[in-house]
Amino acid sequence: MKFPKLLLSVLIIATLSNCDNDTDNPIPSIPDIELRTMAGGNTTIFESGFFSFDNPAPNLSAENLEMHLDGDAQFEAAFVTAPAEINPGLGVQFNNTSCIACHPKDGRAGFPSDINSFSGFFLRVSIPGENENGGPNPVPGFGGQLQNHAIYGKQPEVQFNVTYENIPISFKDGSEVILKKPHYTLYDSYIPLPANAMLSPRIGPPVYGLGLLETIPAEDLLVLQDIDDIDNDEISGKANMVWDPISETKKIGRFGWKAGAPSILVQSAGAYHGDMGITSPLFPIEADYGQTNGDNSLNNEPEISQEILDQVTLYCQTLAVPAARSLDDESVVRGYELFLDAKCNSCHVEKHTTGTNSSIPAISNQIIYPFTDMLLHDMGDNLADNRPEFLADGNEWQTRPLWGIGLTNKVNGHTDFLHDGRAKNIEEAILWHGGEAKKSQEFYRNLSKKDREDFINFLKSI
Amino acid sequence: MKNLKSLLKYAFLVVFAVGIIACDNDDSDSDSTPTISYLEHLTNMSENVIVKTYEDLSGKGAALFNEAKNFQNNKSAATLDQVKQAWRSARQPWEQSEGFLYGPVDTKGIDPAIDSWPVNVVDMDALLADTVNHPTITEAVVDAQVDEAKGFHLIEYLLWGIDGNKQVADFSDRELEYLVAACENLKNKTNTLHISWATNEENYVANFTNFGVSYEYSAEKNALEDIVTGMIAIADEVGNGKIEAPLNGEDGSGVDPSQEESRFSHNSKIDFSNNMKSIANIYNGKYYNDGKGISDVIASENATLDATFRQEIIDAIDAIDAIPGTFTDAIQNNRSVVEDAQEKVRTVQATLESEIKPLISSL
Repeated sequence: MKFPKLLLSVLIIATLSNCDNDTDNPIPSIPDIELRTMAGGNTTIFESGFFSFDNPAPNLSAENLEMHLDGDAQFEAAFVTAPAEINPGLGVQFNNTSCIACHPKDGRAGFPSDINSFSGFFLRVSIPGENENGGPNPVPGFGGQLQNHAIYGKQPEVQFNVTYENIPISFKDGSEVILKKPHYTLYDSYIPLPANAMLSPRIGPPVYGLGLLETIPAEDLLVLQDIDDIDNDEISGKANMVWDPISETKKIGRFGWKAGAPSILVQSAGAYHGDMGITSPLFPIEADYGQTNGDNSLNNEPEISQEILDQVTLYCQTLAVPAARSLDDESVVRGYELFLDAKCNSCHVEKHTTGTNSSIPAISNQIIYPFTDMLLHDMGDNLADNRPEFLADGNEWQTRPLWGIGLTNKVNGHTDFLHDGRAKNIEEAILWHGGEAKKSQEFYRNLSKKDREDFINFLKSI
Repeated sequence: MKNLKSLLKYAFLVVFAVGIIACDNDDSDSDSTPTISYLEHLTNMSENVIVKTYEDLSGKGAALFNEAKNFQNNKSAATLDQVKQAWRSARQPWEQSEGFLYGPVDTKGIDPAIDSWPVNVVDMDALLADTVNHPTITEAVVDAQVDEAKGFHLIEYLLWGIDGNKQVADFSDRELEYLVAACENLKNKTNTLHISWATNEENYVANFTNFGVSYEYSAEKNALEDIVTGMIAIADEVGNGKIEAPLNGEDGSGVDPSQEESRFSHNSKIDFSNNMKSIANIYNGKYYNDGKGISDVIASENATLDATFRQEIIDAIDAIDAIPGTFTDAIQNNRSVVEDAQEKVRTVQATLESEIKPLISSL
């Protein structure tokens, strides 16, 4: 008589103590809160306002701080048409006139309301095949990037156009979001483009924390690969091996939306070169050299010196990472549970330890929480640019770091995410996930509204 | 029968007890000490300092446009002088707003659209010469140019010329068109800036008087922190950029007059002074009206620090104003006076960084 009563009450208690958790891993709190709060290790700064992204790492040596501040001034320098006393060399062809114009307050550019205004958006281009280094095959007369501005009197390479296709996405609870899929075309090209030209949209990403990402040992990233999905979890991360013009060898790609650049130095020199038409010792010949709407003189002097290039590189290597916020908040803890249950951390790997950069002790041997494996993943057909870049195929993008995304609206006044700003908030960015991430996206779509809010609150906290 | 009833009663008690204990999701606040409200300070600073400064800027931007048109219609030394005065007059609230370069002035790209430097003179000259594509230079034509071919410094260049002594006869009709169009463009931008903050328009002020999920700041303290960081940013810019680059060169290799930003009009000293006044205005909560500001927050915690810092701002302004002649001349011939002003500006920055901001963060 007593036994069934006891059994019944045990069953009742067991049922009730599950409450409303439909998760396998209820956790009372996020582990290692102190460590995670210092998302950038000792380069972390406790800022959460308008100035969250543009601070020097607080642990820089005096010498590196001085160079960082020089780089800061250079990052804000506005280039003008030559000849000029100050900052000459803009163009002929360009997208914008300063680093900060596309990386506002060291954050990310918003998608422009007028796609041909001066903005942080542009299109990369190539034709099938590879160049001599295994990279994208440039389009004759255009190169690997399309510029929609030129110095006065010269015709820009092209003008951009965008139309949108609605992609309705339903949640299990019946509510709906309509994603807008951009379709890019060109008009007013100064000469015709070949019919097989491949376009890839890009928008300026944030520049804090990059030195830390640069200093994660390559072998630690390579070991995260699973190209053939041997563990059968449908995740197949792949490192991009890309041309490094400095060492003239292939190195692991780390920067750029498809991880096409091996280092911040190469990324920065490439940005000066392609985005502003500024030559440097690394890229001494204008991108538009030989074009009828380009530069037809071979100048001996690069438009920025190695010293300036090094200053800007160090600047981008040593920007502080904002501390994580409210990791003990109940909604954030619940969101973290769900993040793990959705297996987002398969690609958005939470934690790394950096190696050594002998010139910059501040970013060396730091425990960091960037939430990226730095690898390429197939993200599905809707996100595909269909334009290979070294080992990245037409469907693959690099896992983005998630640190600081919650401060985007505060710093930049918008919440445009992904490689061309098509996601208008963090939730849309999740909903765009396809390909290897399909199951994770489905998990998210099946969550209740409250669970989805908690999920987003977690992503906003890191 | 009896067993079932008592079983159910027992079960009900278990359910009741478990319901109270197990699923309790109440997140009570960790402490319940009431915090001081700084709403009055934030309201005063945002409405009476920031909005009023932008209102002045918008009004003076409109006045500058009117004077430009007047000069175009009545070219004379007198009307040229009036439009130059109107430029200086519009410059004042702009420089006095640089202590709060957050919000729409940045996120809407207004700062680079009205204050980019250097001027793209080659493109400017090319547009002036291009009567084929642009028989008339309108505001829309100017708006479509790079930021470096519009705004305060472009207008300054047109008004004063590269050597600062442009004469009435030197102004072509085409230049006057560009001047008027650029002034109209500046007027539009400063108006956009004002209405983005104005409480009866887009009301960015609401982010300084309301806190939580739908607003920029989750708590009053965070808004105060950004206000202080804005002050640090302009002090840093003046001491380590605007003064340092001409005084010692970008790379520290020696004086470089080309780095002076308001060189054509010789307005740099006034610009720097107004930048420091921007710090004073927001710190003291005083523009036209005198209300609560950061000063009152600091004073209630550390009266000595407040008194010291208020004096430091005054000393920096006085030291800048004490630079004799033009800044252009002083960086060559009165370097020690410039260096003294720079030191006093750097002192303001240091106090903000090492004492004011930490105190605000500890509230």
